[in-house]
Amino acid sequence: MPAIHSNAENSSPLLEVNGLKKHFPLTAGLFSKVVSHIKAVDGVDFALKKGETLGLVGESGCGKTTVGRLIMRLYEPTAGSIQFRPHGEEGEDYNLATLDNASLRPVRSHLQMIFQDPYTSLNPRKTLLDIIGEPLRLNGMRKGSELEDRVVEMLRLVGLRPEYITRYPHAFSGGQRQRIGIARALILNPTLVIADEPVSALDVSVQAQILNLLKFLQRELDLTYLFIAHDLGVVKHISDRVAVMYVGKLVELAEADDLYRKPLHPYTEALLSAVHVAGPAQSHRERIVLEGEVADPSNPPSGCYFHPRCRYAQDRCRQETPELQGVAEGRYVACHLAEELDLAGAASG
Amino acid sequence: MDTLLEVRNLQTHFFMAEGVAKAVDSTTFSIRRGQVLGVVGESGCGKSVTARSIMRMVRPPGHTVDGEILYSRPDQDGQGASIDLLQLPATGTEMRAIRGGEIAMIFQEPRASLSPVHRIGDQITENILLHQEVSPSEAEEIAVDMLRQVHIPLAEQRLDAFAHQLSGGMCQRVMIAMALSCHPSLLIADEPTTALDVTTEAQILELMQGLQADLHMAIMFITHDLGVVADMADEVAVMYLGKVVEQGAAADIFRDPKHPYTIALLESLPRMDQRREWLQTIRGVVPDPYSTLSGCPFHPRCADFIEGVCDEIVPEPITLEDGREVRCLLYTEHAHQERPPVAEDASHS
Repeated sequence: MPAIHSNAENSSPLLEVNGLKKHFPLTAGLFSKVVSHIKAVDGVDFALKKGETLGLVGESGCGKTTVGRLIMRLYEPTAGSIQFRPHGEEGEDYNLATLDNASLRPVRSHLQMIFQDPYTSLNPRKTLLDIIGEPLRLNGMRKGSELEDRVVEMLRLVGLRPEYITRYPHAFSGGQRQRIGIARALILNPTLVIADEPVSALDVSVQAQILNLLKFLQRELDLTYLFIAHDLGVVKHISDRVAVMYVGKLVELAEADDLYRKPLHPYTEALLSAVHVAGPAQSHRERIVLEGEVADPSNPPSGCYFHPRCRYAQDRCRQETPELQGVAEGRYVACHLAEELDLAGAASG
Repeated sequence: MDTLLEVRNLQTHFFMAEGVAKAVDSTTFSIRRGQVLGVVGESGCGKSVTARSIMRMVRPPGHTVDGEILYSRPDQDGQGASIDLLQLPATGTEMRAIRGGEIAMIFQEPRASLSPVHRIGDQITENILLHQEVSPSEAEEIAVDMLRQVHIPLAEQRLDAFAHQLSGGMCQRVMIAMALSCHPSLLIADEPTTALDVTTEAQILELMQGLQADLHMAIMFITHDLGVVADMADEVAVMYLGKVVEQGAAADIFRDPKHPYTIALLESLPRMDQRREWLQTIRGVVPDPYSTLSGCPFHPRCADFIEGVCDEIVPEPITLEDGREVRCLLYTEHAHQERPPVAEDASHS
């Protein structure tokens, strides 16, 4: 699907994901016979430009975390390619989907991840020096006082006091722990940061601090973010572009403002209508309540996966699976009816 | 007199080795019959402990040490008689009749709140048999009827299901069916949709609104999500460090918040209907519950802090013209002595 990548400029993107698939086998019986597959990610294409933030949204089980982990190569992809150009256009071009472990190692320092739960993603028996300095130590890049200096520098950068360097994670609040996780992710100067629900476990006042920090760091360090989240308000705030995922596939991809103002996929419309705005009651805003539940990724429905819950579904939707197609500058949608429907967006101010 | 429940000066403290944690520290609010009260605040502000204190379900080391919980129940002649729940023995007959019968509660983790080893039907009928004088077969009829009311398909067959066979949304529906099977006059919902996806959340909220109107019950809706509260509640109580800092009509609070904490909370939310470069943050973090702060508990984080006033005088609730109660010294003569009133500085919209 080449159309996906023809963004305004012709410069080659930092990351280019093509036909990415991950099918987890479902086994049964004494000999663990494979009876079927859970199609967690089932043909995903997108590209990331250097310096941008792409928000990836969807409900639990839609495969958004799996996409992040595939890019990190924490899972082996079933099919597809992940082209990564950390050194710009002239630099080398790696296909993360096929690299073996040895050749993956040097590339990995350009790719880092921030996790959701700041309470379980830090080793409770290690000090901040060990936790934040570990990536540097593992890569044999610095040691001793040099390592310490770099960790102190990172602590300052994420807004923690240098004297915390000898403390253990239990002494910190959720927001501070998330700052520690960010410092650890950034110490190797990565190019691409995959943030998997980085603020979901935090209270709103702390969430605001971390979102501001992520934005600040992006500017300071010229970072590119793949921001995985389910909260559409948070995603709109931080993202330049947003991709919406449903049962292993992207259903819509667009500039954030466009997507929120005028969604093209009925699923996006329903998601936006379900978001509550903490303001004076917008009395007559319609809440679209979807019938039923998210489709089973091991046994998805025929045609468009969303058709059993879609209020606009027609016969065609039950038979043909729509492909993600470019419908306007920078806008992609996988819906047969995209051009006919006039869907409601979130109230824009 | 349409006040259903009046909580006065409630104090629930936890006596720990580290000191006394004042989880609920002189909380005062009231719920009117048939009304939805939204209780919001960040984690650790005492919302859940308040709910548990009303249900008399606080376990040691927690103890409700002071206060009144006046619950008015209609007696035989239809006259309201007010009883103080705190005066009843927590495990006595009367409290057991109220708990689960007249005041019901649903929780955040629907699957964890259901028994994994009992069938759904048995769990619902147990509650019905406990509170109503009906035969087991009648109880089963009521159970089926309740499951239909919460839109569970194939209700008769679901009676034989176990919790693990149902999705999170379905489990929450079962919890609601169970809670409502005895027609409570008050439903306490403690973060009922926090663990659910947005589209499932929309289904559950729609269901709760419908049932609330049909059954004319009051709901105490506890959540950290200001958006959900804006959508659901008639009245809002904002809690901070065990105290209600502001209570009033939801429309008023979202249009023109008065307490600096409420203002800051609303400002720190990423909004879909606005584009802001940076989010407002509240400086510092919620202090640990063992600390004893002089003056207003919010003063170290408050943007409108007045030295010599806010850190010395403990604010008492003040009623403003629109009937709103605010615990803030900015609205008292203390602030006027020092400087012109900040009260009308409502440039936060």
